[in-house]
Amino acid sequence: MNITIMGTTTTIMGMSIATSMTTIIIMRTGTTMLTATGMTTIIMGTIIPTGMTIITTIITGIRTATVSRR
Amino acid sequence: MELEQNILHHNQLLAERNRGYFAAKNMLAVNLVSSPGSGKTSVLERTLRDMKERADFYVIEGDQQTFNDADRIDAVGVPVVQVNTGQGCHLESDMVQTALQKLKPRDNSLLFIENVGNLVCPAMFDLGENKRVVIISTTEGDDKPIKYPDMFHSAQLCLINKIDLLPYVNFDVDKAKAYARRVNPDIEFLEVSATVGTGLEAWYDWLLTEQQKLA
Repeated sequence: MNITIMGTTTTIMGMSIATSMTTIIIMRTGTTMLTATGMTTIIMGTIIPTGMTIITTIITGIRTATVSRR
Repeated sequence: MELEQNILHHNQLLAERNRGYFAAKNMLAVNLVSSPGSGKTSVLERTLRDMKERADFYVIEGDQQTFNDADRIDAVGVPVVQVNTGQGCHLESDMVQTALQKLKPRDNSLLFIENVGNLVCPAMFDLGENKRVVIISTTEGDDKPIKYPDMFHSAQLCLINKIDLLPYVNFDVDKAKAYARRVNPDIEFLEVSATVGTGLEAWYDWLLTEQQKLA
């Protein structure tokens, strides 16, 4: 499992996340999030006392690649 | 608790594992990347047909769907594995690893990994290859290198394919090279035509030279 803290200007390419089956990303509000098609995304938001909104995103990548010998 | 980690960490670990596998078997692994329609499969098909008596070749084909490319390589008589990425736009290290388990390549062989046709995502994913070769064709825009700089920055060689069509298209070879050198001053170029065979001997020499460097 990867846990990543991202800044406000970071763009996360959802397809990159597909390399890990489960990734938890903690993002500040305003972080751009691009998720890849074919992935299940659950977003939960939490307000912490400092006033900064933290969004915890749990992404479970569904890998559909098949490898076939000819 | 480690709070910050490269999002591609898992892929990178497996890429290093692939690199170790290639080194242990003294294999040259070439990652072929390009936009769709630049002629990757045609270059590969012609290369294998002309070179299969001079070296041991294996191929991993990457496409979202179909076995079309693998069937073309299979018809040449070279062992091939097709990876269908579904909705994925690139190959990843674990796919290469799984394909290698099926291919079981021999020592001192040469592996081509034909990536999914796309100049964006494949640039970010190290597969553990020794060399990355980007193909552009004269039927595309000559400004591809500055539109998609990451791909050209990470490649060691650029094949300019369909060079036989140059009289009929508005492709400026010198401008394309200058753009590519702007993002990667060390990139090499070969002008080729998979259809009529122009420049292919230089490409074959490049491959054999790179393989000999491993020994």
